[in-house]
Amino acid sequence: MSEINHSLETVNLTKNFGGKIVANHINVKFKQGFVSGLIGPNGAGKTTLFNLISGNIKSDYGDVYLGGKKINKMSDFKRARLGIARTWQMNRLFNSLSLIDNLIISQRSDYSDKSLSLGLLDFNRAKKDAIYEDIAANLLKRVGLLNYRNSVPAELSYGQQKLVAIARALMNDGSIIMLDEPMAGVEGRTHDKIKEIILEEKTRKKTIIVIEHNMRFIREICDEGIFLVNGQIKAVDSVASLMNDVELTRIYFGG
Amino acid sequence: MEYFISLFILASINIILATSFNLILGYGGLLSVAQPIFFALGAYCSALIAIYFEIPIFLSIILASLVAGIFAFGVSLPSLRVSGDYLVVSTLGFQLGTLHIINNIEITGAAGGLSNIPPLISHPYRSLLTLFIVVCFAVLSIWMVRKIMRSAYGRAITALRNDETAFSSLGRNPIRIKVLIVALSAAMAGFAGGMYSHYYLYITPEQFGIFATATLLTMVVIGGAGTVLGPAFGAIIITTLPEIITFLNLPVSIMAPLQGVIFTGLVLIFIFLKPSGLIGSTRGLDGLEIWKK
Ligand SMILES: Nc1ncnc2c1ncn2[C@@H]1O[C@H](COP(=O)(O)OP(=O)(O)O)[C@@H](O)[C@H]1O
Ligand SMILES: [Mg+2]
Repeated sequence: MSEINHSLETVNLTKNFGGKIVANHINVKFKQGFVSGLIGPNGAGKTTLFNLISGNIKSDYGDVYLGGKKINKMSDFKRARLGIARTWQMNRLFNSLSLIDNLIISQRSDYSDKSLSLGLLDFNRAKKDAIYEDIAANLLKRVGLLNYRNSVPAELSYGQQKLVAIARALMNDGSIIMLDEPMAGVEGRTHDKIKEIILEEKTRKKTIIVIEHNMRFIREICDEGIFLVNGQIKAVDSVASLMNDVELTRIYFGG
Repeated sequence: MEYFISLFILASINIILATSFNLILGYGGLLSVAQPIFFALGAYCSALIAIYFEIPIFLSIILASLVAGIFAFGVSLPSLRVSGDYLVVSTLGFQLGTLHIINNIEITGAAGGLSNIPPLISHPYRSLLTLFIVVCFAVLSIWMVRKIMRSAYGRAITALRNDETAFSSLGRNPIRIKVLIVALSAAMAGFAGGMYSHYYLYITPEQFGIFATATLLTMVVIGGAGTVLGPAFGAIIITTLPEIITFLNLPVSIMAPLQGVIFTGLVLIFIFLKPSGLIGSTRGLDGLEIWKK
């Protein structure tokens, strides 16, 4: 047995969209305490792989294992409750909720959707919220947005919204964190902040997967690179070796 | 006097209906068109239970509203499991199918309608007493929606409406919430239907068709979808306006089209000039109320 804990694994994961194959027998292991960079040209199927793992779309074939347990029959919300958290290319924040509420509602054991009384007998929300409000406030502090706790997402810059999206995923506090292009359209302080957060989560032994086009960022933070083309894994290696591979570089830049 | 009381009773019943519809349409962002059919289920079931069984009328109204809620659960569950977009189709199908049945079976009185429904209250002041009761329930329905929306559950409903995919990816079960609010909303509509049939004592299938859906939609939209009090105001305006126009004593040839013009005009005015409806509120980018405790 390997000494590395393969917390997340896919076996022959396959998906077609109307005859077009977007995930083609994907076999990949993501390691705990590792930052894996998922790279490849646009349309390669990177987001689709995230969707298959988080359960937003169902595979045609193949399996997803979390800590050795098969999870591919589970719905997305059940997988999230097992500790799979993700962000989206387009943030997808809750626009009618303040930042603090965006976060509070994102903790795994949120009781609200389980209430059979539809909240009619919910007379101590503030008390129930209190624990999670603390956690949420701490996360907002970590991403430097505590001052905006009562603002709605629209009042923030794009980069700040990215930070909220990441904080919302961290609210899950599960073992898996998947970030879909966290750096797109982000620069300066926010860039450094996101990098810092990812590295912090790494030291907390999380399994982190990052889809990113920013090569400098990938090189700086990823322990390995997974190169995806046309729904197929072309190579898994250190980022440096991948970048030195003439063939892959040609594919990536569409040469 | 009796005429006004009767009109206010209808307005109050419509407040319950519009408020219940607002829960799923305005707050839940779910387009179900079948609210009038749950109103009909409540009205017919309660009337039939009261006609055929010797139980207190109020109990039959409660039973009928449960029936409406259970039907809504059964109709919405399959479509909501697939995608919210199917809800409009399945509810429309349910509405038309149920109306067809009501129109064609004997027990409901078919197209001629159901009459001789036992009254909720038999008392010289029955109208005044009924008005008092329906006003209480109208207030209760508004309170319920307000309470739900200000609870953590309402926060979840709001997030669900904003982005269902993000919502479920964070570990929340969207189907459960949607089905439950659709069922509760239908039960409220069913209750309103029961109150209706045991006051007016006569119901016909044509009251519960697509025109009823359009009227109800108008109440919610001009009052303010996704606000607590908006739909109630909408219900009062839309219920009383035709009667006010009637008072103008115009010839029928002018009156009938005039009512249509005024209704259409109102909807257009609100859509273009005040899309948030009568009741203003703090609104996010999606044009809906920002959730607050
Ligand atoms: N829901 C969908 N329906 C149909 N085609 C899709 C869907 N999602 C993604 N695709 C297609 O799958 C391919 C891979 O998309 P995606 O995973 O988003 O690529 P990437 O994230 O690597 O840029 C693209 O050709 C895209 O058009
Ligand atoms: Mg993508």
